[in-house]
Amino acid sequence: MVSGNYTNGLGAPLSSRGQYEVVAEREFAYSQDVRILRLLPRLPKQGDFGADHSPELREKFKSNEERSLYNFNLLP
Amino acid sequence: MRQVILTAVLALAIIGYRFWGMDQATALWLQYNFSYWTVLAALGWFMWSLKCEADFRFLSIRSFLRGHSVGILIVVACGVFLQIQEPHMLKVLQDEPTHLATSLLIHKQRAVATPAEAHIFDGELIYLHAVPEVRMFLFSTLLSMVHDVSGYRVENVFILNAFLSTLVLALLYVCGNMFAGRNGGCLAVVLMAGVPLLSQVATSGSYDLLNLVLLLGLFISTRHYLLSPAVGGLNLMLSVGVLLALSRYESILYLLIPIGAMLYKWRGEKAVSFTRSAMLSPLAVWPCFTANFIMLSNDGFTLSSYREKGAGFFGLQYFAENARQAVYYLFNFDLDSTNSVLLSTLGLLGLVALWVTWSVRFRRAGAISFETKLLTVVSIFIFVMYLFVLTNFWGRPTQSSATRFILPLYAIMSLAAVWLVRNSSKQKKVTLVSLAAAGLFMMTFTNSSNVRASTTIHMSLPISYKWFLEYARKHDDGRTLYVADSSLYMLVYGYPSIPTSGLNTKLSSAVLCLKAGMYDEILIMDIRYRDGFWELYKWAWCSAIFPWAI
Repeated sequence: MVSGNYTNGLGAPLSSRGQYEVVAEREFAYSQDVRILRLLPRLPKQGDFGADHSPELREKFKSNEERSLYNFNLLP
Repeated sequence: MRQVILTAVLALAIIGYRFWGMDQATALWLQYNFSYWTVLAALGWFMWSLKCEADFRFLSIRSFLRGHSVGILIVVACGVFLQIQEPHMLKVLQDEPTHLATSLLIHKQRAVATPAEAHIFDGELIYLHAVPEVRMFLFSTLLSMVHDVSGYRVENVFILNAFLSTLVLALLYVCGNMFAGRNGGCLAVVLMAGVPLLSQVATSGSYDLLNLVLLLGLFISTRHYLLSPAVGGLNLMLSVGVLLALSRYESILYLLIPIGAMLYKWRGEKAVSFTRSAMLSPLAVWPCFTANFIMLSNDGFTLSSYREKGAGFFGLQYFAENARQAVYYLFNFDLDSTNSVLLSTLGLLGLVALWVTWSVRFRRAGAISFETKLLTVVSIFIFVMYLFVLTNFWGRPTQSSATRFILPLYAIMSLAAVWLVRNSSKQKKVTLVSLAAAGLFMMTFTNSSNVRASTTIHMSLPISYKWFLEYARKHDDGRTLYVADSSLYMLVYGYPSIPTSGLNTKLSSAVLCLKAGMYDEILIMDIRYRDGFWELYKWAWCSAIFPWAI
């Protein structure tokens, strides 16, 4: 298991709030390593989330889709 | 004259609106809803103009094919050569996945924007967070047309670029043929095909080949206009210029070439001739201004986080270092590089000889041929444009994602080399020897460089992404969310994905997605550079050949 909060080259540093495990790793020449990490949810697992909340979440996604497509959420 | 004044007023009004009247909301609204239709109209205007000017009669096509069979064979052979040298893959992140993602939205909604995320919802991939497309999107529009015909797939971009790369060679043949006949045309083609960079771009998802096609097209159509009486060729030249402006950020500046050609011709004919359809040409370039406004209004698009604090997107402070790197790149003997020393040498000699000849004989009437004059003006223009690119903080040609900005310069260098050979004392012999040397160079240095390209430092990033994609193809069961700095890479291949920055700011939302059962896992691609990477990177590019370039 690894923690975030390090910079991964040119891109954004991974959040230190998350915990990750390495699922695959590849070494490249020229001092570069690539890893595939799996985000470990620190909160309760699937099933603990109430079934009643699911439709809400679905609606949220649907409305978000429409809003974002037509109102242009600019990248930060 | 009235038509010209009205056109100038229209153009000034659009430019004035860009700088003094435009606001973000209007620019976004215009671009999202109307720019696709504008580009479509410009394409229609070009097709109509081409039909009016070109001779498509069967007999003339047959006689052309007969007269240029060797040239056509060389163009096709070199076109195939470009395609078989390197793997077909997206090579510049973030640009190439963005072209594809934009073409996807145009294909689906006829709207110009780029979806930034994708999620699987009820078993279907839904694209979210459309962000404005600040790159010019003629290439994405053409790509969406390929999707319209064959359905969306990533491979369409490679098919389009295979066609465009062969078209680049064909147009170079036509240009070379103007100066030095068929052998000259063949020489231009072989010299250009010997640039490993062209092979790299021809097998990528880049829009630079379209820019190059239109630049060469503008050269040919400007010549046609200047040689035709009155308004002959005017619509074709202007429509090609408009399409060129819609193909890359800085290409709108190339519109000065047709404008200069019109003024030159009117001065020679002592009469102003214009067409009604040309009056509307300024309207076709408004998407350039909205994209420019949106880009310069948002720091995220001008990569402010990559620049030093307070440093601009363009600046003279970048020029000296970028220019040094450009010289280094052009004459780099390393097989890991994507340059062609042969073309750099011949091309530079040709450019210098061309400009010196022009400046010496400038005032002597009839001392310079029409083609030489045109080549001189266009070559100076392209050279100055490249100097302008070198003032960009991202304009370093040894930076693999910025190397392709040098392609127009290489194209004009190949024509300058042909001009040089054409004006040598033993023209035919020198042309054939140069052709043989260029062919030999292509089969030895270019071939080797292309073979090595996928194992060099320059391609390590796209190869990393390809590895992530291959992992997904092997293990994905539709229950995984993918995270990468360039999330569009996975998105265009049909996988749900969000950018790393998005995961960081919405980590709890990502966990919520897992808890809600949308995904079983979230996989993140993490590239880590070991200590000393950047020092090594710099050393790899700036080795002992030009120590002063470090």
